[in-house]
Amino acid sequence: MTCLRRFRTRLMQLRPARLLVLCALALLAGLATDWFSEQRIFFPRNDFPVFQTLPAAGGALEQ
Amino acid sequence: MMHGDTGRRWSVRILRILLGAVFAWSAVAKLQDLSGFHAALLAYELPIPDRGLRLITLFVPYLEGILGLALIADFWPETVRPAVWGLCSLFVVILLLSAARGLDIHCGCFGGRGAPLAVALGRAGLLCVLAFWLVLQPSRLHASPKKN
Repeated sequence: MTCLRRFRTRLMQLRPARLLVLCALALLAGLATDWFSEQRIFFPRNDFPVFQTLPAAGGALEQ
Repeated sequence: MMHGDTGRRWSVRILRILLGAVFAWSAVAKLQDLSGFHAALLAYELPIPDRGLRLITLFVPYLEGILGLALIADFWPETVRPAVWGLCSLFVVILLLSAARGLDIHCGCFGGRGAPLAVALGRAGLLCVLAFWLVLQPSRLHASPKKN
């Protein structure tokens, strides 16, 4: 019982702002690493072919 | 009394460094194969959309790394120690739920495929108990000023 009470006291001493800073740091580091990495996980590279409208033979591209 | 106090302080220090090293090692192993970790997370069949899982894939290794290093350096102990316990508890809950659902998966805790579920559950449970004990111990912030 004393053990649980002590544990509760320790949990109450936790500073949410500091926890938030640690979580924000981890998230930012993860996102930044992903952005600059070859194999992106969260920001996938656009691997789909880009289709372009080509002008018809002998004609101008429609505006 | 003095010997007991010194012994306890040393055991706290050793456990802190040990837990921190385990967390840091886990982070490095995951960061070396993020795609593998994402695949391991998918196998848990958690009710989280893929976009969220991808964010977790990036978030968890860095959080583990930061918490591990902070634990070793005894930085912000009143926050880091409960956070480590919370993360271990979360792992235990997820592994327990997966075991209850009868999923035949590997944990992916230390990169690659990882250990079978039962082994991972035992390991996470042990880490959780150790982290719980560490939370109970007074840190340097809780230490009372020395009397002359």
